[in-house]
Amino acid sequence: MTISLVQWLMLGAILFAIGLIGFLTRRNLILLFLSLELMLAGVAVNAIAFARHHGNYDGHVFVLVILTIAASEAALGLSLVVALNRYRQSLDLNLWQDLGENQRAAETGEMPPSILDEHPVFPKLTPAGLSPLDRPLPQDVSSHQPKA
Amino acid sequence: MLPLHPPHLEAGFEARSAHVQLSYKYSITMNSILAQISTERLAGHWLELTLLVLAAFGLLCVLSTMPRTETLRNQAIKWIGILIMVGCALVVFMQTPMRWETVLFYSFSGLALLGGIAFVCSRHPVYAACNFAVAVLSISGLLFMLNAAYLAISMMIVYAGATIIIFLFVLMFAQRSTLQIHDRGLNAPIIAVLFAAVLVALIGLGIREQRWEGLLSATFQDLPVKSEAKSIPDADSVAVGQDSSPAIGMTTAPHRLTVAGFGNALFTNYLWLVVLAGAMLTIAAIGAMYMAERHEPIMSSGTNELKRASR
Amino acid sequence: MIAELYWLIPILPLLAAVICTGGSIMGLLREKAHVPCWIGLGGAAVLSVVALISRSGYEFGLVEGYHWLSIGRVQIRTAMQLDVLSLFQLCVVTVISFVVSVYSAPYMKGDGGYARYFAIFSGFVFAMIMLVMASNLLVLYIFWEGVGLCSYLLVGYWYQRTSAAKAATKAFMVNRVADCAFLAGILALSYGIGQVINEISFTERLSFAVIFDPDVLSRFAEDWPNLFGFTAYCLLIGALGKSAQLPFHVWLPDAMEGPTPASALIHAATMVTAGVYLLARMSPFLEYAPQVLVTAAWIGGITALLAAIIALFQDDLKRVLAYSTVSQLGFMFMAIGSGAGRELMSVAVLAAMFHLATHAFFKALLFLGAGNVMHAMGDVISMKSFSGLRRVLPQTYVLFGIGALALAGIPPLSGFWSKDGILAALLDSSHDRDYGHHFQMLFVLGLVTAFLTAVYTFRAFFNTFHGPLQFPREAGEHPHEADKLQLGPMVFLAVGSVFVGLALGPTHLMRGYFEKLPMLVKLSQLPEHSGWLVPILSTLAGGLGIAVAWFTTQGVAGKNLDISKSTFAVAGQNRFYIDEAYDLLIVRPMQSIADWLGAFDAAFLGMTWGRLVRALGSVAGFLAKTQQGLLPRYASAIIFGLLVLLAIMALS
Repeated sequence: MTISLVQWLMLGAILFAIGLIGFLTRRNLILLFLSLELMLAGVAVNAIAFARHHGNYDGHVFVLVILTIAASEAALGLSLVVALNRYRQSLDLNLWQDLGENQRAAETGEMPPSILDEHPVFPKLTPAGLSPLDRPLPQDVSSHQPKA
Repeated sequence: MLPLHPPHLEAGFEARSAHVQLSYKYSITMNSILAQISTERLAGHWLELTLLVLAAFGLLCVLSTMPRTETLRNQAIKWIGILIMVGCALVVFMQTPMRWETVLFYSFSGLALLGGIAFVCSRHPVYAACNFAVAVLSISGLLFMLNAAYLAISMMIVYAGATIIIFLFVLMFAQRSTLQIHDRGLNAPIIAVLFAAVLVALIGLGIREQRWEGLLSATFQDLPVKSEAKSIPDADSVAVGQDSSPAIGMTTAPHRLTVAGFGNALFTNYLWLVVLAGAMLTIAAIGAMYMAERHEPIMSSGTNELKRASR
Repeated sequence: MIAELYWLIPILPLLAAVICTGGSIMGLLREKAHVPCWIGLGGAAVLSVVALISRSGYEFGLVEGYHWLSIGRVQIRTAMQLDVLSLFQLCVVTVISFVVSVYSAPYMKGDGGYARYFAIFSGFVFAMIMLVMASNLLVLYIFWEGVGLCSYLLVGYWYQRTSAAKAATKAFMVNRVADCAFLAGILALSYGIGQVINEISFTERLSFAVIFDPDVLSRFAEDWPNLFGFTAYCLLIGALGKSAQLPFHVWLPDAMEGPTPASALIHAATMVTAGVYLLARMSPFLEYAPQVLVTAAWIGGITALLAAIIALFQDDLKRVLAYSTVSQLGFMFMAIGSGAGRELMSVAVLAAMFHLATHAFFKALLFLGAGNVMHAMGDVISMKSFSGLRRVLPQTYVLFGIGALALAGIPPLSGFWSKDGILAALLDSSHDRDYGHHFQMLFVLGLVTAFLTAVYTFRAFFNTFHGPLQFPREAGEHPHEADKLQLGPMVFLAVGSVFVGLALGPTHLMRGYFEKLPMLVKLSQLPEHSGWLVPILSTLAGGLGIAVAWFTTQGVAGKNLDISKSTFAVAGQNRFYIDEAYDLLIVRPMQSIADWLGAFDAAFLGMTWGRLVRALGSVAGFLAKTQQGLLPRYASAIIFGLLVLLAIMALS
C-alpha cells in the first residue's frame, strides 16, 4: 500500500510539536521565530496533504498565505528583535518581563548576568587557534570550537 | 463525530440545528472525557503510544543535556536519547512494507524530523539555523512528493533562502560573541516535551479513531493518496486549457494537481487573496523599515536600564 | 428679537467660568483672567437689564431648554423662566456681580490664584442666574447646591489658611443641614402634588406652573393640611439656612475669611438673597400657610434684633457688616412674613424684593469700602488698630459714608424707602384679624432694630474714619487710596444707593412693575398705605441712632463711658455664645458618637472583614505569580487550552 493520509498528517503534527518544543524552551529571540516557522511548516505539510487528498487547490492556497505571513512575520519580527536588542543589548527572552507582576526581582539587580559579567573580553592575544572568548567558557561550550 | 461538518447536514446545512448540535456536543464534563479514555480504547493503540512516549523520552534526554556541561554522564544520556529516537524511527519504518515511494517518504520525513530535533537541541544559534534549513529543505522534498512543486520551490526560496539568511544576518548583527548565557538555558523543557507529546497523541488518536471524518468527508483507509499523481507532471503534458475546468470546491473526484492548475486557481478564484497577500507584504515591508530605524527611546521611562542609569 | 437672546444670560458666565478654569489649569491667562469674566458678566448684566426694560408681555415666559435627563418616568427638562420676580432678581444679581467683578480685578492683582478666583466667581454667578431662572423646584435645588459649592470655594479661597478652610467647611456644613430640610420639603411637595393631581410626572409636579395652580394649591392645603404645613416649614428651613437666619446664622460672619469682593458678592447680591428669593418665589404657595409666614416673620425679627446687638459689640469691620447683613436679611424675612395678613402677600413680596435690591447696592458698597480700608491697612481689619482714616482715604470715606447713611435709613437714600416699605407692610398686616397682634410686636421690633442699625453702622463708621489718625504697622508709612478701577464701581454703587430707592419707591415704578406678579392679588387692587407715621418714626430712629453713635464714640460720652467690660457687652462680643452652644450641644455629642462608631469599626469590622481582605490579598499575591511577563509561560497556557480542546474533540 502507498503512504496513507494518516502518515502525512502525523508527520505534520510531529513537526508542529517539535516547533512547539522549540518555542517553549528556547530563550533566544531569533530561535523563537525559527521555531514558529517550523510550526508553520508542519501546518503547511498538513494543508498540502489535504489538498492532495481532496484533489483541489485549497490547501495550496492556504500554504501560499502561510508563506506570505511567514515572510511578513520574519520582516516585522526581526525588526522588532533589532529594536529590542538595542534597548537591552541582548537577545535573551527572559529579560523582557515588563508586563509581569513581580518586577522587583529585575529592579534589584537579580537579572541574569549579562555577557560581559560572564565572559570578560581579554585584551591580550591567545595562542593560535583559540578564540579569546573560549577561555572562561565551560568545557562543553568550547567543544563546539575547533580544538587546538 | 465532530459537529463542525456533520455528513448528514452537508446538503441542507441549517445553522440553527448545527448550533444546537454544537452546544449539545460540547456540553460534556471532564468526567465524561475521563470515562471515555478507557484502557480498552487506549490498548488498541499501544504500539503507537509506546513509541510516542519513548520518542518523547529520548527527545527529553537530548534536550535536557543541552544546557549542561558535557561530562561523560551527560554525553551518555544524550546518546541514549538519540538511540531511543532512532530505534523508534526504525520500528515505524519496519512497520510499513518497502516500496521505493515509502522509502522516499520515510527518508525525507526522517531528515525533516532529524533537522527539527537538531534545531531544537543545538546550542549554538547559527547551528540551529542551519539545522532548520535542513528541516525545511526536506519538507520541500516532501511537498514535491505531494505534487506541490510550486510551493516546494517557493518554500525553499522563502524559508531556506531568504528567511534563514536574514535570520543569520540579524543573529550576527545582534549577537557579536559566539555563545551567550541565554543560549545555554532552557525554559521548562519537561513541560514543553510533555505538551508536545500529548498534542501528538491527541491528534493521532483523533485520526486513528476517525474522529474527524466530518472534516475529511471520507474515511482514510479507503482513500490513499492517488497513485496516478505520484510523479511530477511535466509542464508540456499539462496544457492550461486542459485544466481550465475549475478545480476548486469539494470535488469528490480525484484530480491531477499541477502548477498550471494552481496558477489558474490562484488567478481566477483566489485573485483577491493574491492582491491581499501582496498588500500585506508591502505593509510589512514598510513597517519593518520603520521599526528597524533608530528612534528616540519612546519607552525610556519603562526600561529598567534607563531607570538604573538615572539613579 | 431680544427675547431670543435670553438664553445667553446664564451661558455667558458659564463660558467665562469654563475659560477661566481652563486658563487656570493650563497656566494661561495669568493676569488676564478678569477679561473673560468681565465680558461674560457684563454681557449677562446688559442682557438682563434690557430684558427688564423690554419686558412687554412677559408674564410667565418660559425659555425652553433641552431634555437633560431621562430616568424611567422621570423626565427632567431644563427650562428657564422669566417673570417679573426672576427678572428683577436677575438684574440685581448680574449688575452687582459685574460691578464687583470689575472691583475684583485690581483687588486680587498679584494673587497666586487669580484665574481660579475669576473662574469660581463666574461659576457662582452662573449658578445664581440658573437658580433665579429655574422654572422647576428641582432645577432650583440643583443650582441652590451649586451656589453653596461656589460659596464654599470662594470662602475657602485662601485654602492654605486654616481659618479660611474651617470657615468654608462650616458654611458648607451649616448649609447642608438646612438643605436637607429643603430637599425633604421638595420631595414632600412633589408627593403632595402627586396626590392632588394624578398622572403627572415627577418633574412636572415640581414645575412652578403646576405648583402655583390655585386649584391645586387649595386642594392640597385643604385635603392634606399636615403635609402642606410640613412642606412649607421645610422650605422655610431651607431659606433660613441659605439666608443665614437664626439657627443657621453662624456661618455668615465666619465666611468673612474669603476675599472681600467675594464677601460683597455673597453677602450683598447673590447667595444670601437666595433664601429671600425662594420665599418670594414660593409666595403663592406660602399664602396658604399663614402660620409659617408668621414663624418666618418672627425668626426674621429676632434674627434682625440679635444680629444688630451683636454687631454693636464687634470690633472687626467686616464682621460688623456681616452681622448687619444678617440683620437686614431678617428685615426681609419679616417683610415676607407680613404676607400672613389677608391678601397682603403681594405687598410683602414687593417690600422684601425692594429691600433686597437696595440692600444689594449699599451693602456691596460698604463691603467694597471695607475692602479698600483693608487694602490700605495691610489686611488689618480690627477697628481698634486704626482711626481717623478720612485723611488718608478721602474718597473711600465719602463712599462708605453714603453706604452707611443708606443702611441707617436716612432719607432720601434708598435704604430709607425700602425699610419704610417693610415697616409699612408690617403695619398693614397688624390690622389683620387673626395674626395682627404678632405684627404689632414685630413693628416695634423693626423700629428698635432700625435704631440699632444706625447705631452700629455709624459706630463702625466713626471709629474707622473719625478721630485721631492712626494706623497699624502693617499698613506701612503712607496708606494709599485705592485705584480708579476700584473706586469706579464703588461710585456706581453709591449712585445706586442714593437713587435706586428714590427711583423705584415713591415713583411707584416698582409697584407698577410688580403689578404682574404671578398668581398673587394684583397690587393695584390693594389699598395703598399712606400717612406720615412710618417715615417719621423710621427717620427718627435713624437719626437718633447716628447721634447715639456719635456721642458714644467721638463725643463726651465716648471718653467717659466704657461699657466694653459689662456682661452684656462681653456676651455680645462673643456673639452670645451661640457658636459655643452649638459646639457643646451638637458637635461634641456627634463627635463622641462618631468616636464610638469608629472604635466599633476598628474593633469589629477590622477583625473580620480586615482579615478577609488580607486573605484575599494573599490569594491575589499567589495568583500574581502566574503573571510573570514571560512569553513561554503565556504560550504554555495557550497550548494547554489547545490541548484541552483537542482532548474534548478527540476523546469524546
